[in-house]
Amino acid sequence: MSDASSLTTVGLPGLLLWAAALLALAVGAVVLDGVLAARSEGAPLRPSLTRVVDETARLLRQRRRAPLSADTLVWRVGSSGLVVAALLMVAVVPFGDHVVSDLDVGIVWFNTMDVLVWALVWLLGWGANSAHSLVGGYRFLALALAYELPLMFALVAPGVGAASLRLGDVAAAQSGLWFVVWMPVAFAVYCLGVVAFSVWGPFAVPAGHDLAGGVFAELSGVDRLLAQAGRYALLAAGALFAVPLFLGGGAGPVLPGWLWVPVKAGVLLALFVLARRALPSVRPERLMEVGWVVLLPAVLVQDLVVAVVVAVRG
Amino acid sequence: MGVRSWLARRAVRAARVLVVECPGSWEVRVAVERAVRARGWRLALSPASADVLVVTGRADGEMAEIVERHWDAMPGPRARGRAESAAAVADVLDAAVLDLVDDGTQRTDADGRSGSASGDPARADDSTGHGEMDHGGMDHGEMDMAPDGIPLAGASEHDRDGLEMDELPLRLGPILPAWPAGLVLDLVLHGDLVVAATGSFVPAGASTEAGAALLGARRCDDLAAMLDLAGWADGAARARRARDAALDGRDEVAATVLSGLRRRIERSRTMRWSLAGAGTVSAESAPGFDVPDWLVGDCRDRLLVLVDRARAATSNEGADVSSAELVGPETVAALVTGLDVGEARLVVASLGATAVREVVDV
Repeated sequence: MSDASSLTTVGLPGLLLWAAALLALAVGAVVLDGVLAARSEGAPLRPSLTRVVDETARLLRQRRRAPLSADTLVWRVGSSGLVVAALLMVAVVPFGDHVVSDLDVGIVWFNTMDVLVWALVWLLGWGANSAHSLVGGYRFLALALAYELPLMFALVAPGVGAASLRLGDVAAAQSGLWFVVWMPVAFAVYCLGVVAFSVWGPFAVPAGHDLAGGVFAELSGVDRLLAQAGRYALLAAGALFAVPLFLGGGAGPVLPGWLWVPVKAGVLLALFVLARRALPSVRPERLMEVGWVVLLPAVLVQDLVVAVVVAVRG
Repeated sequence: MGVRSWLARRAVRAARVLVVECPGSWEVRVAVERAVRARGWRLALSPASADVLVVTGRADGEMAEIVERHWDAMPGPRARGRAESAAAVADVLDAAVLDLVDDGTQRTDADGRSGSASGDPARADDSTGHGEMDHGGMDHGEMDMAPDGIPLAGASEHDRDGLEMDELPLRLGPILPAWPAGLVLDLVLHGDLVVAATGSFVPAGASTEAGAALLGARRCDDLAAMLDLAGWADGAARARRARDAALDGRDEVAATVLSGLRRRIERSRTMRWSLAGAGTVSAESAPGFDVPDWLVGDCRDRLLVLVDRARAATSNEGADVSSAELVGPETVAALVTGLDVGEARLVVASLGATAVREVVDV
């Protein structure tokens, strides 16, 4: 198994490059989202192009303010942790032949990080000591309960298909056929999971309009900057991780492998951003029904099919 | 000069505005929203995320106190202004920009409030730091466990299922996005479930009467609020476009946008699936209230009613709000009892802010 891929480990200094790629993708998502929003509202387009810089300047200049009796330690762990979780996710994603850390349990690592997001968003809701934030926290847990199990089983499919949990092996196993082609259900459920743990689009109810921003309602200054950045970073990390998992890794014509990875991730990320404007919110209890009654059995059948195919091929 | 002023100049380009609509100032609030959008700014959902506070209309008495609390909850740099007419909006926003970029003003402002940010017992009673969560009007005199003046969640009298639940007071309104101006709902929550509710209007003369010419635009605005809460950003943007067209006297544009919207809502499976069963009202839902036909059904049914009302109001001038449509605050409270907070917000929006009034002829 270990000779299926020969990746060069670049170690911690290389993490800066990975972080730069993650940042570039996240910024791209912010700009695209801003342009789409401005276009549909009939607002001028120009401000949305530089909004990333302006909003960062605004939040860096803004004082951080905590509500009365907020549990600031817990709250700030929540707001600053999302970026860290996203960065740790992409640390195991190979760009061409290079990877920060060639973990032999890369898929499980990703899963661990997305479960960490449960804790972080909940702490964000709890720490603010405000009813709206708290209700946002409840909502996230309700959503997480619905999407997490299907997501876990969706992650199983590529692992079984490649007979390895190492991302380099998973990418290498798709030299003939991308996993997205013969594991479409797992891919769809994976995407849904990514959008949900990024508190994004139809699953943004924990930060909903009706809760005056929910888990983000009381954040200000650098805390808000980190939390918002974390949200986009998670979405970008999910898109990046999908590349070795389902989209053939660095395989592609003309461009070098290391460049194909962010290109493919960028396309997927753009789709996530588009989905947000087109779809209404999903109320948590509705997702619960679908998550466990439809998605979970469907993805289990997908896993079974993958397992049978792998067994038959020997 | 240098980095500091560069940062300030960049920062104001992304300013966020918290609009406080005092009852009777609908037109001014919409003017603020339009001006904010035209500048490429954004509206703030909560005081913590806002740089500019704009009060439309007159805030006196209790409303003035509530505005003050929201002002205190803004982190700063911050600026505030009051617009009494749509014509004054541009000047108010321009003045806010000057205030925001002026480091001197901001430093004075920050020095003036040091120490009052949290934990000041003198302010404990109005729970300064709480944004929308406003315990100020709640009666918690007999609770002795109240760190920083915030009462702890108490044991509940409403015991539904033998589980001992803590109850949490939450006040919705009067300052909340997509919310009828001046309405206040005092809720008692178990988790996020509303077990008891009382409704009222902030005493400030809740005259939401508007000229018949504005009715079409107002209905479109109600629709936009509902779509905001349903989380469909594109739909809400379309409804606002119809609203602005109606305000500018381009009724045929509004009509086109609305009929397109109606088609999309009717066809959207995700919308149907997401809203189906949310906030279902039947004849028994609000005891002591004669439930009119339009109210019966779930939030999706009433969303379609909102679209149809908007279409009717934009196409024929002079149509007024019928008395069968009006809903008083106590009825609103009865309708949201038993729902979760999200559904409760949807139900309130599905009534339409135009229909929620102080006095009801039953």
